[in-house]
Amino acid sequence: MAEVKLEHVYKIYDGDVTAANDVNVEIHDREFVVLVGPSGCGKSTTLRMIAGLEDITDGTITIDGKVVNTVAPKDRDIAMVFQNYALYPHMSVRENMAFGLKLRKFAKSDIDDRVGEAADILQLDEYLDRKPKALSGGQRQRVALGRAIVRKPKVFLFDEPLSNLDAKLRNHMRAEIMELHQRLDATIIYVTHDQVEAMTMGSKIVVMKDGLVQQVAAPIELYNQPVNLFVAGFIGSPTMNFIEGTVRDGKFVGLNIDFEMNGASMPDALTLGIRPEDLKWGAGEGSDGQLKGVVELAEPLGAETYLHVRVDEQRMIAKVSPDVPFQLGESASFHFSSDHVHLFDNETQNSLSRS
Amino acid sequence: MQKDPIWKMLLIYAVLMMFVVIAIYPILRVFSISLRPGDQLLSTSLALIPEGATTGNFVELFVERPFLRWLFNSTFVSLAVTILGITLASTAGYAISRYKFIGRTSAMLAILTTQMFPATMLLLPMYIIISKLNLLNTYFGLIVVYSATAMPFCVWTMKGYYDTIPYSLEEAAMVDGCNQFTAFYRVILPLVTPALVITGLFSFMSAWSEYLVAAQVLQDPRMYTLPLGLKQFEQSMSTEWGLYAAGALVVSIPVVGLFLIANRWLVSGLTLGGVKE
Repeated sequence: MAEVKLEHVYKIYDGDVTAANDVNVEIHDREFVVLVGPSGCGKSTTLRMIAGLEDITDGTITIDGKVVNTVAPKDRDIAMVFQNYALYPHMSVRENMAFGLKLRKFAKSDIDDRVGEAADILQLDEYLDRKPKALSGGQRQRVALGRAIVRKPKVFLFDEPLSNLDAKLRNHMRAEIMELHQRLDATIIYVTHDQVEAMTMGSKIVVMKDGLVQQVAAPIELYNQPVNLFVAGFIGSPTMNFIEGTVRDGKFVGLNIDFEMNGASMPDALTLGIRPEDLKWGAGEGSDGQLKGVVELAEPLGAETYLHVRVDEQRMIAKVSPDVPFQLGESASFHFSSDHVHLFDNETQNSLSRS
Repeated sequence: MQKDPIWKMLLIYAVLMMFVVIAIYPILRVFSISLRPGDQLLSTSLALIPEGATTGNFVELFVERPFLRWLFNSTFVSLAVTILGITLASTAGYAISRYKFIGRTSAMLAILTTQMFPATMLLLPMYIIISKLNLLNTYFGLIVVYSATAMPFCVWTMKGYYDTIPYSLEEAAMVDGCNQFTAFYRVILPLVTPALVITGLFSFMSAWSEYLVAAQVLQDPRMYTLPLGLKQFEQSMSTEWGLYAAGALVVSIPVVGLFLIANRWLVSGLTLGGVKE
């Protein structure tokens, strides 16, 4: 069992810079939790506090029910994979992987077994006697993974481990880490700024901004029910279309959008959000909402096409089937269903759809 | 790669040869003098092996003069300074590179400032301090002064080298099971070998060939280091040039040896591959 709990955790640097602001996250045994957010949102700091590499200003961090606030990193039973690999350059791959076990005074036969097993899983057998400088970027990252898994720790911490790899290798390693999670049955906390990585890998995602946790949810829930404008805009690619407007006589007024609002009372100023794939091609007779705009740009990706549509002064993106008969520079109609519309209060930035 | 034209190569080699001659000639000259019978410093012969060449000077040096004693004294003092220099500079440099503490910048500047005074200017205050500490005529007194003068350069060198080593290596080591000291000792120290070697060589050299300070601190001839001992061959009426030259040659051998041995550690790129820059 390896549960990690952060309760009211704060990190304040030099008295005024708040890197983590009342962070509350509960990570269950064998969960794959991804901390995601833009640069400087406090995700890495949070991970480093869990690792013990950063002191916490206030709050409690517990691993397996034990408060670890002042416990040294080596005594937390965690392993960490760093963004820059952080391999020991003077040691061979084998020594790099065995280092932690040696320090913990494991028997030599046990060390050999574990290193052999890890090398096997990560296909590093033939590189065991090489130094890190004789390895490619992907191999180095695998050694860093190997160094973590030989220890069989309670919790694995990953700090943007794939951000230094090229796109192809990144996809490959992503799959490898997910397989590893299934194979090891381990608790993993993974930091990334890449929302695709977050969505595809995590069983639970923690979205952070300015040191504050914005939302903790499963990927699909995060996508379908973002709690605020930031989460809605951060998760999803291409990003959600936002239209600012007001409500008048039960109708949304903003751009040239025709959308009948129903139900509860709404604030005066609000933002309507529609994901690109929810903007359907055509006027859509009888649909809940319609809009018209000029197609300015098309990005054909094969399986789908992104249309950049100018609606009044604003540009929106629609993800449509590659066979829709659009003409660049020509006007086109789109429609959408109220089921797929997200409404946000402009003042609080929070979602109105969820309340 | 395109080869340089022949005239350019000739020019390069001519210049190089000139420097080699400038560097080697004095040594050959000293070698030649050491083999001359009697004290023929001013012989006009250019022969490398002089007429009537003899190893008598070397034999006399080791058998009849207290040269071995001086050698022991110098070796003892130089090794002590080297060990002290490496130990203190490697730890001080590490602390300055890795920790933020009050007075860090001023400490670094203060250390640097001490390098701005010529050694001769420091001689008198240093003599007063050593004498007040009752360390005159002791090895320890000499070791303290040599270490103190070598330390600023060594600390700065070490600090600069530590700065190039990413902190994530220590962090990885600490997650792996090290504490701050073992992370330093097992992961960082092996990576700064070139700087340690430079620090060691510098400390050793600053003690091995030093004359001025030794002449102030040591008065007992039994404690003389090599430079002081050699100076004894120089008397008011005459100088025993043969012995002087033989001694000078022997003194330089350990230094040359040290450089040759240390050479293999003076390699760059030890940290290559450890982290993604």
